[in-house]
Amino acid sequence: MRRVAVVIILLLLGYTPVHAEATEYQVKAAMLAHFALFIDWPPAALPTADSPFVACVVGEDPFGSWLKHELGERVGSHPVKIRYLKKAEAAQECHMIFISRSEQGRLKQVLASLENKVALTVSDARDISYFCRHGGMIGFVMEGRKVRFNLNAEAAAKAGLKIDSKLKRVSGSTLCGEGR
Amino acid sequence: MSKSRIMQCHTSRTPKRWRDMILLLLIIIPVNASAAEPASSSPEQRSPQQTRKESQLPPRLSELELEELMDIEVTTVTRKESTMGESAAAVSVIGQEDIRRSGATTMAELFRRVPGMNVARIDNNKWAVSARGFNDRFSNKLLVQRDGRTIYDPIFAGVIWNAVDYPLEDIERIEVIRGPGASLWGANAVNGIINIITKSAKKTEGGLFSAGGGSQEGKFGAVRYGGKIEDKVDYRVYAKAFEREKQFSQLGDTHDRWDGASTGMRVDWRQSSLDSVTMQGDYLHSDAESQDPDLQMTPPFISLLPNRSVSKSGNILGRWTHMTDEQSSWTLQAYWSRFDTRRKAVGISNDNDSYDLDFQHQFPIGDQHKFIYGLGYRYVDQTTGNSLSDDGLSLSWLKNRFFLSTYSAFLQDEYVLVPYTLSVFLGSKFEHNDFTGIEVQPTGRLLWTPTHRQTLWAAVSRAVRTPSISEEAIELSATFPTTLPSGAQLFPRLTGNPDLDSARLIAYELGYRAQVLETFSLDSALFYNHYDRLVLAVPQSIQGGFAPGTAILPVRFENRMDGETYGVEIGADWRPAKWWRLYGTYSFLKMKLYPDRSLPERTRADAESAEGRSPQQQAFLQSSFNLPQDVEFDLIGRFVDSLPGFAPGIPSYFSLDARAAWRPRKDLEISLVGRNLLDDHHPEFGVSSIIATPVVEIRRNVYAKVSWRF
Repeated sequence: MRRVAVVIILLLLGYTPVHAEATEYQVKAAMLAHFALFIDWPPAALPTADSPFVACVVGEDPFGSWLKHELGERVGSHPVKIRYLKKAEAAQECHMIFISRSEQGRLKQVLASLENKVALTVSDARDISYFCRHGGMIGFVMEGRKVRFNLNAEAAAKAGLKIDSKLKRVSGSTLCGEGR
Repeated sequence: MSKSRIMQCHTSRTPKRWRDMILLLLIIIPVNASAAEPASSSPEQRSPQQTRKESQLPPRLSELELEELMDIEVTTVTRKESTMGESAAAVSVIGQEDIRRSGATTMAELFRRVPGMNVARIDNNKWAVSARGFNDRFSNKLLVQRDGRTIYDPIFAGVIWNAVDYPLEDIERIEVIRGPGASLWGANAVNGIINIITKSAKKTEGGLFSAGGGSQEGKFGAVRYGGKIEDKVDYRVYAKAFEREKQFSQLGDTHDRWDGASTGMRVDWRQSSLDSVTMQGDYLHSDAESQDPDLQMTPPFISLLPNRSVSKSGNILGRWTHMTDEQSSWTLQAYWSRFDTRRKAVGISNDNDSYDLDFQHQFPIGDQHKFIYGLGYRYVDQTTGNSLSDDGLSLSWLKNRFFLSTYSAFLQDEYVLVPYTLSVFLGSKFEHNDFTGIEVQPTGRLLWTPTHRQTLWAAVSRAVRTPSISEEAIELSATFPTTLPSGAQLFPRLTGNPDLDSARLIAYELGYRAQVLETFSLDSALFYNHYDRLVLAVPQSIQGGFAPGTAILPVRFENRMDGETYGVEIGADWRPAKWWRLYGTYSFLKMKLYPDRSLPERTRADAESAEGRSPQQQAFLQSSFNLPQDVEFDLIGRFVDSLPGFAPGIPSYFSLDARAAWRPRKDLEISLVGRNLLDDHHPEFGVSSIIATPVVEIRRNVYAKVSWRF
């Protein structure tokens, strides 16, 4: 029995998986990269072809190096900048704002302070319908071990953002506040 | 086998076992360091100059299509939340993947992975299942529900596990709550609640065929088909059947074969985004072998009779859920269930029909209160039959028919003191039953989430266990006699007590949950339970016997015992690498019973032996590997402490189960499962307190299974 166990474990060590598996925040970072491409910001927000695209993380950073890895150097023609913010009030130039789960208790205030900004708000807070009710635009939800997202198209339109129809099609948006 | 021999072979085995364990650990530990993921490197490390390092990072997922991204399984181990959301209770969720990878073929085996649960296989068709102690084949402090329907035998206020044989593939999740849930679920939700939730019909579209066989498991097969009746109406139907073999006994035949067949259906109608209606029903047939003591008029007066217990059970349930707005909803549910069992050789029959109506409504009041209330009514028509083979000598009842009504109401308020940080739950159930009248079962709970990664909760609750029909009305003489000085055989006769009161519990609980790392989560609970008015059997004065040379000692159920239990339960879930998951639990339980001091010493000792019938320590460790070529490999190791409360005592045991599964195609799975691999056979439970039959030992067994989706 013991010898069998040893052999099995030694065999396992040599392998890396060929499965479609990844860490949660690499997948979420990759999805943020897609959102950046499938959403149009008004010309005033990105005036020239080389104006920087600023992605911000509010609260505790869950991504580590994944966000930079997945967003890459550029979004379209715009060079990418990433900012890590303690407070949402500092989100002056952000185009996309990821609100970390650590902000759940302050979601309402965070979203209120972002109300007049031309920025896409994304979160994976525990209560996504609450996030959407207070003006959040894209909420990550888990379906089993797969990452899904819900849209609040109305809130995005109010901020002047245009969402590509493909994004609307693949989202499971019904749970996301009034934005269905 | 004598007690000393059991203990001896146990001790001689232990050092080797420990050596194996340590060796395994040594192999596992160094792996972790090398399995650490590159993701943990900080952003600063990846400056543009270090392009070589960058090339070692995994490929960019953002280059995949969005749909492909949505199909990736993430490796995070977040604690699965119960349908009640973040809760101030010790809740564990068993998901479909856990069920599939456990290799379990019966419902009861699934609970072994939950800390604080006591699960022992008595033989091939009987189990003892309880939470936080008091384990017995006739455990009566656990509430089991399937899709909102209570599975409950009013005769002993418990569950006959061989009549709960629903297909495991149809289960969406099982929520196990340790500790009292009486404020919501009512009487008998004293030490725990098990909620079995099946998949909606929409999630089981298409066909599923599975079949397999092996030692002890015998042959089994199941088929399921689901589809759409029209746009918003989904259905599924299933049928399954099996023929199980025997386990092992030192004393000859085990009499524990088990055959069964069942069929059922479920229809879900999503009328709109606000209304949904579910109709479901099942019919189960079970034929389980047993050995039952039977009395005779001539010496030796009692013998064990090979018997068969044939049960038929059916149920129909309808449920309508309406969302009044995003945070408010109500549910109306009604069901009928029937359970009918016959013990062939002794001619005992029991049957009952239960009718249940239930309404629940939840809604917020302002920003700070989430309110939920419910109303319920249950009517049970129970017929209890005498033993026909001997004119009721072995078993008879003070009454043969019971009509029982239970009215209940509950309310609970969640008072949100600080949103998503601090909540107080206050609630109570009010219930009226025909045995003890009105019962009030309140709870107070505190939920504190200081950070989004940590939760602390505390609870104080009161719960009651209402008497069962057998405690009120049984007359069971078929128990093994003792010899009086005169030489006469003294037969104890278990005698019901119509004046019996509810047993009461005050429970104090404390819990802590943490998402320590993205790949590591922890869940722990501490509890202290204080019981009073527990039921024990008290000898009365000796009466004349049923034949010359015999005498009868009536032993009556009385509320004359206090008790306390305390314990710790820890569960941890860790993914050291993308392809490897480790899940482990540890449970500690201490049980103290205090029978009334005025009772005879023998009676007290008998009652106290229950302290040693639930394991003091238990551990569970599952290692799940996802290998290349779509191969899954699982190892499950368990330790269960000794049960000295039985005579002879049941030694502690280690067991090892293994499962390998291969998916050559997306719609086909072939699996091979081996269980109890470490020894030929070992007992998990001793001689039952009420029906004394020889101890059966659980064998090593192997089975193979094929599942095909079409």
